[in-house]
Amino acid sequence: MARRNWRLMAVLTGGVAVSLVLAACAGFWNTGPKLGTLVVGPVVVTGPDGYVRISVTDMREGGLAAIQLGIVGDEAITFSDIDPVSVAIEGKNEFVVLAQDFATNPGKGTLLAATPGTAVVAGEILKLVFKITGPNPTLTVAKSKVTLASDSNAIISVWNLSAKAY
Amino acid sequence: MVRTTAVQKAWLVGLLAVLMASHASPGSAVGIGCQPLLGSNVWTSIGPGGSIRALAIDPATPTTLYAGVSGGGVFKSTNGGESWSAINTGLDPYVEALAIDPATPTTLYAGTYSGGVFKSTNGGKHWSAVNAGLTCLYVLALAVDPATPTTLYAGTYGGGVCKTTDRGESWSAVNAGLTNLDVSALAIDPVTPTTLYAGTNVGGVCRTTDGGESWSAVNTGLTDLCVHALVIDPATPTTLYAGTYGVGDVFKSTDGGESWSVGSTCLSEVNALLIDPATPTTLYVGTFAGVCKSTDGGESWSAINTGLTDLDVLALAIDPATPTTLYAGTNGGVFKSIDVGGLQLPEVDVQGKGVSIVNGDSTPSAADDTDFGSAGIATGAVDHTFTICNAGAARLSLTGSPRVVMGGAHASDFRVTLQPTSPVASGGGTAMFTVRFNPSALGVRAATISITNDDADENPYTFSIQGTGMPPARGDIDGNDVVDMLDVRICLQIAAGYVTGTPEQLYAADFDGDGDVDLEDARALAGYVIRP
Repeated sequence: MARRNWRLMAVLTGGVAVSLVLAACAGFWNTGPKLGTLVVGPVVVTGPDGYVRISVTDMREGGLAAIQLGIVGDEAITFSDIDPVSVAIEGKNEFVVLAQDFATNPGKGTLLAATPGTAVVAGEILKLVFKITGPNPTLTVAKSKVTLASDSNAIISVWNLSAKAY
Repeated sequence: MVRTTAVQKAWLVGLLAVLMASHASPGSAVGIGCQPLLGSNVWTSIGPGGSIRALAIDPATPTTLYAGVSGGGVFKSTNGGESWSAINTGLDPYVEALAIDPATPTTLYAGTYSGGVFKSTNGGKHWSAVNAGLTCLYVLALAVDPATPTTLYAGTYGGGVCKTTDRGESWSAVNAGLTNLDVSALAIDPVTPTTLYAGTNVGGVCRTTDGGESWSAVNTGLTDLCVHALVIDPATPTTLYAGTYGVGDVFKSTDGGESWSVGSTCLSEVNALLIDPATPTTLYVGTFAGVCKSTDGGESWSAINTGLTDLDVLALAIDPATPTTLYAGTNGGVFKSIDVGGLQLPEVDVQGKGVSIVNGDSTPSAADDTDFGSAGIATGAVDHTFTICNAGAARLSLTGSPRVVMGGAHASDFRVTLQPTSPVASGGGTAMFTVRFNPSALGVRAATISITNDDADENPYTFSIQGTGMPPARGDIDGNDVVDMLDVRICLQIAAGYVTGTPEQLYAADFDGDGDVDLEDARALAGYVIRP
């Protein structure tokens, strides 16, 4: 009986080992180039003020050179408990905010920013600073309305949107 | 070949439907829709169908003609072949030969396969057999004495030659000295009608100088004794031609048949021979490979078969008043060509939007696509496609390299993006080429298209083209006809001095139009993009 238990344990141990090998292999095959990601951070509140950082990681085609978050009437940005008049946008890593509109349509916003110089492969590009007007300020971005351009002035067609903090 | 004037072109275009219905007038050189030109040795089927063994034209009214059909009797047309009607009352339907009384053209004779000779005295309305004394009823040839039309000869298969002096009321065999009794061709000397030649099946040519009383073979040099066709030069009756069936040659004699020589050969066995009465050095031969033509008295021959869909040519006839009009009887009906006097030539025409562009045209027009209209400098592009049409009877070779060449003051603003194929088939063949207008400067830009080809009188084929260079749209810096974020980035790059930009890009990037490109332009352009 003891001999039989020993054999059962050996079989189970072998099975676990095989499973581990297969899992490792699966992980290996899933390892590929990371997709460029636009990261829209959470609203960070400090007293009456708040901010959101926007950055990129692993951006392809030489990096991100321009970004457009929708157009007026079809804005990519949706926000709440944020004073639209107070929204100020800081360009980072040579990004210049060339146009923005957070006032035309309530709770909606759009902007267009670009860098004349080197495109950004990974790093912060924009910081939106604003006054909060309520207890639960939010700011989200609809990926389908965002357009990204590469260093060679071509549309970047494949990328991810992430809402995690940078 | 002759071109139409601009006035003719406009008239032709305006009356396109009418012209299409009427097949255009002879000599019209504009190939509307690239139609083959009538009048360039192009044959047109005019009916009737069936195996056409004989053709005869009324010498007084050449628009009246008759076609003898094996099994179909005789068909008559009174409008140059436009329409036909059967005239067979009393007639054996297997007609092999036809003859018209030159003095009384309403009197016709028909030689038949087994019914002998039939006669009509009312233009074919009624026929009656006239065979008294005819020793053989298989009649392959008929010949009327032009000076004494009451006299008629019949060449028969097996019975030699029979003669009548009373319009067929009675016949008698006249075969003394005839070396072969299978007579398939007869020819009468128009100046001395008592001199007659008979082409025989295997005995070559026999000649009589006494109206058939006696014959003698005249075959020196005639290496093919199977003679199916004979014609005499009406201007020089001692010159005659014999078409043979054994090998398929045309032999020529210039001494009344005493000796014969052969020119370059044609294509196949000879069924019919024809001589142009106005230009006797021009001859036509009907063979099983179509029609061949000689313009040098039989020394050389060339095929003229464009449009001839049945190449078994059994009979030929020529309009005596308009010798450029020729009829061919084939196993597949009657064909007509209205300008066989023309040579086998290509006929180039270039069309834009289906409108002919006259060779040498120096006035570009939107109507024929030679005016390309407006395009943005450096960024715009306008493509126009042109059609090279060959309406002639010989294939058209485009001999330039490249085939379409740009010239003129602003040639570099026009580029041929699609070169035409070559050669271009005859009878309405086409080849296309495309020109792209991409102006490098503002204003009218002009160039000349030149197409070197083998249409002798339209080589090279040239015409002018033009277009107008326009400023690019403000903001469309990359010239893709869309003003978007990408243009904003370029504008920003220019404003910041990261890129220089072409003059056209600088023009487009100066969005506020103040003469420079700066951050304000980028901001204004970005504002335009997010507020379209």
